[in-house]
Amino acid sequence: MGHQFVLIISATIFCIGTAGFLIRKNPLIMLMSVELMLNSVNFLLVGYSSFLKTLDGQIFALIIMTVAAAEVVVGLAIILTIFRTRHELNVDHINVLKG
Amino acid sequence: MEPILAPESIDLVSIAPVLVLTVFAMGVMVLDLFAGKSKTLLAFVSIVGLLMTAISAFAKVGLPVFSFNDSYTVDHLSVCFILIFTLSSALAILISIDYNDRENIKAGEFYSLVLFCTVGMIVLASSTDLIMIFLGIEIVSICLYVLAGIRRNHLKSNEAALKYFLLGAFATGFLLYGMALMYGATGTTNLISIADLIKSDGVKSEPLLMIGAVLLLIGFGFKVASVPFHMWAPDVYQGAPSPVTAFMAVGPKAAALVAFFRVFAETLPEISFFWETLLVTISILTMFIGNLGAIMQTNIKRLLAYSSVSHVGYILMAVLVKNTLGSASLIFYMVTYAFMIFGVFAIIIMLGRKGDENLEIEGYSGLGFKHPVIALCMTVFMLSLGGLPPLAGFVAKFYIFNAALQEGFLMLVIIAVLNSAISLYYYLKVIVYMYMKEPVREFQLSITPITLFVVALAIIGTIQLGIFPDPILSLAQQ
Amino acid sequence: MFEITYEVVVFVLGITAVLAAFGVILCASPIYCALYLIGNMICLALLFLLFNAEFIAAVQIIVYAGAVMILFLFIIALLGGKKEISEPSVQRSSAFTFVILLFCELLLAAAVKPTHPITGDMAPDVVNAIGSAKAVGIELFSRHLVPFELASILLLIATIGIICLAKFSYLPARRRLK
Repeated sequence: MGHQFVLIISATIFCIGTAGFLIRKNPLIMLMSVELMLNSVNFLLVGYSSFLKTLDGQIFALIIMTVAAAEVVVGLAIILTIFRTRHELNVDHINVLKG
Repeated sequence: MEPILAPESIDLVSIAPVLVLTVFAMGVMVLDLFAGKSKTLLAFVSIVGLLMTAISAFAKVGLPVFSFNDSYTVDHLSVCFILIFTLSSALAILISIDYNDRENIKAGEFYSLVLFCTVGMIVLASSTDLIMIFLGIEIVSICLYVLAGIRRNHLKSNEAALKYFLLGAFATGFLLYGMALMYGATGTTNLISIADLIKSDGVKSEPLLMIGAVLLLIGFGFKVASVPFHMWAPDVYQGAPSPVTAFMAVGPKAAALVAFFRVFAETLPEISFFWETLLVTISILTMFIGNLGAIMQTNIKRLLAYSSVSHVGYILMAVLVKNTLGSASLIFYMVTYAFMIFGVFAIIIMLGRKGDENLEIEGYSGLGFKHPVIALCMTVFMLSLGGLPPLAGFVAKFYIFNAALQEGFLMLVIIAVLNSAISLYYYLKVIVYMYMKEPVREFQLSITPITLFVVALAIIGTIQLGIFPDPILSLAQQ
Repeated sequence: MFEITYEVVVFVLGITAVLAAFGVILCASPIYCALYLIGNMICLALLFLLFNAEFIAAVQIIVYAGAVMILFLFIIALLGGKKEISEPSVQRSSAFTFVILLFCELLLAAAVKPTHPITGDMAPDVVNAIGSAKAVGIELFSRHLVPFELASILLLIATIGIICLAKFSYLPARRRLK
């Protein structure tokens, strides 16, 4: 229980997040899937930080949390503006741009 | 426990460009309060800020300098790229002044965000620490998400922002997982220590490091829009406001490429046997899909998007070269690319008017008869992008191909030359429309002195660097 | 007799986190997805506690599971969490292929024993002696000073960005609704 367990759990959560991003159509849930991916990275970093006995991983995790919060805020603002002009949230129907 | 940082490692002079530009970016926000309706003043303050930043890049002598526990590096590469970033941001601000007036983008935040984005690029070009590279990428990306969607009542702009945001956040996930694995494999986030460790130790064969490298390749691939992670580029380039498109085609892409270079060519050359094949494949695919995609486009911004994808394919060859020859050709390519792209976009902006951007290539028919000078300028930029001598695009390509040849990538160079020939087809298509077709519509140009100035500057740059490339080349090679 | 050891707790929490993650991507309604995501974050926070990262665990609960998820729930409440009907498609199956490939690749990393990278002097007892928050603070304000400041710039940018995107619009809202 240690190194391998952390890697397996975080790889699983990361892949679940990737799958969620690829199969879901609602941008809110896609954003939540990205949060899952970032969470798995945090878990990996904190796990390694404890095995390697350095705090770099914890610092990195802290920075990732800050950035993720900023990213979510901007993302939700973008989703809100698109909802105000379209009144719909399905990435398959958001297709003005193509060629 | 004692503080770990040695006091002499805190070197504020080395991060002077970041500090200067941050102060100006915040100053622009404050000035916005007093600026009233017209934001032109803010644009000029921003340009002064960029100029000061470019000057402050030379504050440090005796390069390379490593500061903040080796996490921030001032070397020749970073100084050159700071100059490229300030140049491209200044040009982007210049072409956006009239565009913003015309399209009713009355947000002073626009200029502030461009400056903050440039801060992110400078960080990206100078950092030798995974945490800082991640922060640099995020600063750049978050600014660009907002800038792409800054026309809030415009459906296309909204959509571009949403697509860019979702795929950008997704790519960040991959990038971070790769960084986490690299940290796990080596126990440090510092690129210099990682490079030392790989050189001295048996970490070379570490699968963690390799899988981390693959994930980093995916993450960076998204950020520089290389195939197969290029899907967002055409949509985002088309939907974003034109000056923002030009801006993100040059500055942020150059920043991501220089970070790419730092991570792969400078840190991981010892395990290059492993990522080299992958990168060669990506490079070839990027050239082909970019060029073949561009042939089918009818919208000029989409065409340029695919063309910029194919250019990334050529530039990735510089990362493959790995040595100073590679970094020099990277620098020279980005300088010429900046001139060409901003020239083209300045003309695109000129050809549109309020409510009608005139972005279909059809709409350019007959431009050669009605406005011969502008059509001539467009022709020069198109031929230069296609890589015809004696223009700058040719020298840049020649230099990068030559560097790749010296490292023995013969097949890759042959394919790249072939692609260069394919790309001429769609660049010439634009020229054919301008000179050989009857006009299908009235031209109502919005020519202003500032946009003309940008076009003139770009023309001078494109021709000058094509005929006398030596000054910039020797600067890049130093 | 079954004994609850450190390993068992870590194992159970890890499995719960994975199950919660499945909940996030499989629920049709966004509100349930958000709740499962909170569950996932709390499991991970508890795991952080077990890995001697008390400060990160606290931040995870307060910032992530607290502030960020409240924002999510607020937006879901504002936009209406409609259920989504999904049907199998080519895109879906290619997505699964990609994910399975990715998973295999990541598992490859777990298949090897760790070599001997740099190990620091921050053993759990050292960190516990000075306190997790203090240790992280010292590290943050010395070795990672520049990233810390850059993170503050990033938050400022995010603030400017959302004001730019969401402040009162140029057109009155009623006219656009027509």
